[in-house]
Amino acid sequence: MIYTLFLVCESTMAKGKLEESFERENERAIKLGIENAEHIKNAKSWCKHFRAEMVSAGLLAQMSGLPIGSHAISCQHAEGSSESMNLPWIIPEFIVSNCAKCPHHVPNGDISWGERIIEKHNRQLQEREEAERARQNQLEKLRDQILELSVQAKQSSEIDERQILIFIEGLFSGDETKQKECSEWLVQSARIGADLFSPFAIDILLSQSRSQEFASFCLPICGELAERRTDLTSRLIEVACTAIEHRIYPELAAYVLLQLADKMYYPLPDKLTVNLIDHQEYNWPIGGPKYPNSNELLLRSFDAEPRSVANPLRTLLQHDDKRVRVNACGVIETLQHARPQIGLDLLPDLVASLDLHDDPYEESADARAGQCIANAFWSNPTQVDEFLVSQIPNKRPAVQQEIVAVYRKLIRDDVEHQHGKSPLAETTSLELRIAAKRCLEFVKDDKLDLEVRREAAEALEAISSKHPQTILLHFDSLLGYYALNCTLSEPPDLRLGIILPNQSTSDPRLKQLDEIKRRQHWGFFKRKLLDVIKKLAENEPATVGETVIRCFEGLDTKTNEDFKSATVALLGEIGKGYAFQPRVLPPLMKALMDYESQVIRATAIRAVEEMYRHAQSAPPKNLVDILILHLNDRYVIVHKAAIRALEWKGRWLSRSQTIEALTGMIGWLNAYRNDPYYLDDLCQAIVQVAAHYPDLKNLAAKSVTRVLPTNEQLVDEKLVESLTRYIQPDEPTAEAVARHIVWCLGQYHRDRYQGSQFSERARMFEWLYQIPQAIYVRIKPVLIEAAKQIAVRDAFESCFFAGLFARRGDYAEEENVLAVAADSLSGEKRYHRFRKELLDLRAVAAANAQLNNGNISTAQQLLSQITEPEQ
Amino acid sequence: VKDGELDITHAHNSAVIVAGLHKTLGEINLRERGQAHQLTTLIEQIDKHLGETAESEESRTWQIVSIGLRTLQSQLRCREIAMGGNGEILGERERLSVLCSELRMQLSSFYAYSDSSTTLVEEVIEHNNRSVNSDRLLAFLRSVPMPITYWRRKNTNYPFRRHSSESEDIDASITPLVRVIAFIDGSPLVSPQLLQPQLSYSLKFVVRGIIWPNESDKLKLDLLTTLPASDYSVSDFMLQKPLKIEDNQYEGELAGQIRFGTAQTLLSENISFVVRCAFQLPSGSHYEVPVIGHNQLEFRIVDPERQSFMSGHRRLDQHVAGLLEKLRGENPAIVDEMPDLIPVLEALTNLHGTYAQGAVLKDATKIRERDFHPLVLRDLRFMLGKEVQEHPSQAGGYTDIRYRGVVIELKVEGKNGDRTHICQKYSKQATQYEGVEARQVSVVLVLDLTPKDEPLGDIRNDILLYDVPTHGGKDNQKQYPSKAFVFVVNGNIQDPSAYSKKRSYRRRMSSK
Repeated sequence: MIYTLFLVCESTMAKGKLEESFERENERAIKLGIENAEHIKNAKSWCKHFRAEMVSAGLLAQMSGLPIGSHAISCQHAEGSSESMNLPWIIPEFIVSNCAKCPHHVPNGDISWGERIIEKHNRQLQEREEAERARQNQLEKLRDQILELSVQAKQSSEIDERQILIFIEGLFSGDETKQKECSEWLVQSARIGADLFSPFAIDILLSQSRSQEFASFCLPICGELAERRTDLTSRLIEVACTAIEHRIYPELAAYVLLQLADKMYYPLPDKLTVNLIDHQEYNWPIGGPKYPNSNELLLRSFDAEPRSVANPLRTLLQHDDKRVRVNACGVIETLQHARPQIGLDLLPDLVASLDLHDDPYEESADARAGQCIANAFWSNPTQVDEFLVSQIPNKRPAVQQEIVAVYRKLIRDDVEHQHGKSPLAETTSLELRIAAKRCLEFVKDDKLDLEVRREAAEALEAISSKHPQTILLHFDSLLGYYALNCTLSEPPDLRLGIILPNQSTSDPRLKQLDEIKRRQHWGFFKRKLLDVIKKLAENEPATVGETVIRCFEGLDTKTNEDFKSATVALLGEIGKGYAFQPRVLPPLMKALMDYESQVIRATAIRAVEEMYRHAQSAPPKNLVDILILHLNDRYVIVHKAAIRALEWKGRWLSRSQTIEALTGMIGWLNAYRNDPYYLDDLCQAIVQVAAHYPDLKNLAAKSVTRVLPTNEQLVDEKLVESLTRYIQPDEPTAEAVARHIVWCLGQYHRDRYQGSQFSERARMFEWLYQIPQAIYVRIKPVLIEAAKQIAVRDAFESCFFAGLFARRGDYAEEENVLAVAADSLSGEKRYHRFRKELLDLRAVAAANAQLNNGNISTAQQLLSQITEPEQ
Repeated sequence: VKDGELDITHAHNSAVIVAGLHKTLGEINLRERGQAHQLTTLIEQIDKHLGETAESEESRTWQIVSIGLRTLQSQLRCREIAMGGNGEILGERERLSVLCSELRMQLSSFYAYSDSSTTLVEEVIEHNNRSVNSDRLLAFLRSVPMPITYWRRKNTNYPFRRHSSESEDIDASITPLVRVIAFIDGSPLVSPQLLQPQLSYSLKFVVRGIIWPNESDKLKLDLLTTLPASDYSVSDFMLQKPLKIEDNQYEGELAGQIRFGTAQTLLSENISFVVRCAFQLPSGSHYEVPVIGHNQLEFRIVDPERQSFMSGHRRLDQHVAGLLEKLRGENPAIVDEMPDLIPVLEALTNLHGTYAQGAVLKDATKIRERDFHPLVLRDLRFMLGKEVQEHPSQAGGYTDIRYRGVVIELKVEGKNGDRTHICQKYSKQATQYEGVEARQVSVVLVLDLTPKDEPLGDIRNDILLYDVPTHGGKDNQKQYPSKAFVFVVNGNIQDPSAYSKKRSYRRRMSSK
């Protein structure tokens, strides 16, 4: 199996960045699997009671046989359990927390590993505590000194300076709220009363601006003083520079320097520049901090000497760690807004950074670099475009793909906003025309990898979606190129990769895999190309409509089935335009009735669906009749298309049409009995179509309940849950639905990773709570059975049943369920508290049962066992 | 279950309450007094739990039990009051009546489909809804099964949003702060500011700030003091919100007047005012903000015409009182020494004036310190009594005269009559004596026997306050600098006419 995995990795097909990262991820996962196995072995030797259970795993674990996946680790004597894919992270922590003083510890082999872990932890804990103690002592001493000096200063200072000193005292008190409050007040004071800061106050603020503890409070105050106290200029420069040098709140220190305006000399020293770049963090999916002060200083340095800023950024762009590159790109992006030239200066470096590895997790370094290149494109499109094109031949396909992706980024709204250009006026003039032309070339360039061409097609799709005018001139060319591709019986050949000396090229499985992938990519590419044309047709029906209709009418089904089908899809897009519907319907009807090709019929059904997706009116009755007719088409592609088209368009159907449609759909239930996932779609369609006529609701519900269970958990749960939405608990078919719910709950396990209140199961319980008493009485035996079934395996969920019984006054059944649930938890220390709670609940249920029988004294005796919960 | 989620801890809490309820109801004795109190905690627990429970059938049973307990409690209270306990019987009976009606309604509704519902209600509640059968109600409460409430009320307040009030809105933002600089009669205020009684002074505050809360349109400035309101009057100061706050900063001037009724004695403390600022909110409440700058004002009210320093020589008294005010202004800690110092200064001022006016030492050309000493000692004892001591041992030497810790050093100067010289020369010894007793002020009385070639001037020049340099660094950096009052008494004085003669002689000589 591992061999197969590596076959995939060693395929000669070109790889994208995602695949490259997947390969590295696999390598890391296998390494982690080996470490996991080692840790499990050691932990099991350490103690007999240690348990590790793999709770989820994937293909890699199956193929390699290694413990790669999520593991739950526990012990019957431990108070908690942990779960993670990374056992080297959680096992030592688990052992330290639970085994250090465990009286139940039973060695099961070599215990030196566990002893080392505990010893190491104790040592680290001690060191940490000592360091913290020393830090606290130091702080305390400092506070005392400041307090003492402040008291003296208050006695010798002017009366109007004293309040500032009181704030200063508060700033260094140990009370965080007070510190924050005083800091804010001191900032305001510095703005409106810089002259009221006595020499003592200044000394303290300046000295503590360099300390890690207080700099965050003192530097903003210094920033305000910098603008207003010219006598402090040299001291403030020194303080701020020192803070930046030692990376103590560089952004705040940068603010101080900025306030000093022309008293600073630029460019800043290299060390300061590097630190001002380094401290900026842009690895945030949304939002994140801004660094206006640092970047303003960098801009001033850049203005004085461009290389002083560009050189450190160049170095960072070539860093192997993608996080570093993301941060560097974040800085470049920010600087580009004010000085576009920096993007052009760094263009070669940005493109070169795309050669490095990236992965899809968290922020993507390639995406950020691409954004910087896109920004540069806006400032000088011709130069950047030419440079990018010149780089394409030298790069591997994965990098080519990233370069082409830059053109797609140009279309993003935020880019337009950032450059303050209106979407249609100026932007369509030059930049987008260059981008569109280039992407068209990429799409048609058969020397490029298919994935690269698909990326270019995606860029074109974005352009045709937002700025169709830009490529409207190329519509005929695109349509022609698509027609040409439709005539190809085989996908284009692969680009030959570099064959390594010992690499086998004749492995038939490898060839087969490559072939599958090639056809898949070709299909993706063609579909994307058609999407581009469809977008143009949708956005510019007036310009392209007649061309498409003429094209459709001139095509022969037998010889041009693929292309004709594509033109039918385009008719659907053109028909979205209200004015064009009369022109489009006749050819569409022709396509619906084209019995020479099931592909064209199916496409025509989808085109009708598309055409009326957002329309207020319904199609003509005869067209709907055709759709209903196609429900009975023997070709899968056709009747599935018809079912899908009618699923959400039940309102088009009259009552007789609905009955006809339901008959057709229900007829397929048996045929698809062994395809549960399609059965789900079909049932949803039946329910939706019937929803418009209340008297047909029960027919639909009965039909759906007949297919249950499919024995596929996801499908069964989804179907039952949709029935709970469709049928009210007091409707005639409610009992059948209730039985299915109970069966479903008993049969399948809860997904413990999903919050109970949002799950389908919670909704099922909610529905059951509302059934009338008569139904409750009739289904009570199955309820009891399911409750016991669940209580054995899931004590928490059994409480839903206990609550149900309590509501109906069935306290004896409530007691039984709780008893089984409590028993299922015995022997595990981590469940002690939960078990005690369940036993107390059981006692109340038993007492209530006794009260129902009039045995008050027995009830009181039972209730006397209940105790207050432990805190 | 409306807006509920299954919660085991919540369910367990209900179990604990049920157990507690049955325990209490099992132990309660309706015939004893003080039983009503036992139900209070139980009712509170049930109410709190119901507040956290999702609305459901189970919670209805709990509500009935809650009302039943309240009714029983009210019935027991009525009985206790009737039997002589504390409380107001009419009020409690009305409460019981309301509870009875409520219980009747709840029971009838909950047991609507039960055959025994009417019997139960009739047995428990009297027909007139004025009282209950306590025994039957207790039996009912003991027998009713209370289902576990598995469903806790879900927090639907998502995303979590606080119900903010006017003041909370302000709290959420940064607390504003204002800078206040005070001017009196157009000059920046000093501390303490010397003012005269019965005069109105213009008082102006220049206020500056950054944040002005949206809710407020007025900033009120007022002065807070412990001085009785009858002793002073001050204007109201109110700043209207500026129409436009530019550059995120506002500034305004508040002008008014201040007036004090009476002067202070030398021994009284400065009058202190705290300057407070608060934004007025539409509700009429105030939002106080910190003040920087002149957040405290200190005044000293002095009447130059009517000094509290009284030696009997009015102009000298004014002079010495001025010196004392200056001393006190510069060194607030000196106020502790004043009670002993002032009598000494009054006595010496008196002596000084008397000796000058009476020309007591006019003919003394060669008088020794030991001869001068008994004269001064005798005169001081006339005025200050027996506490005036001579030659007590102090700081390794012997002081000349001491009165309640205030050392008066006596000296005779026969060579250099320059006052600065005299101060420099003779204040050091007295300072060392006083220093060891943690006092800052010493007193020196010097008899000047130098020839008086020029006529004597204003004798106020002969009473001086001198800063005495001391060991251990710069004196302006010391917390307790030393001072000396130097009194110079003139001896060896010529007749006033002698100066006229001299002048005639000089004129004659010059005309030659």
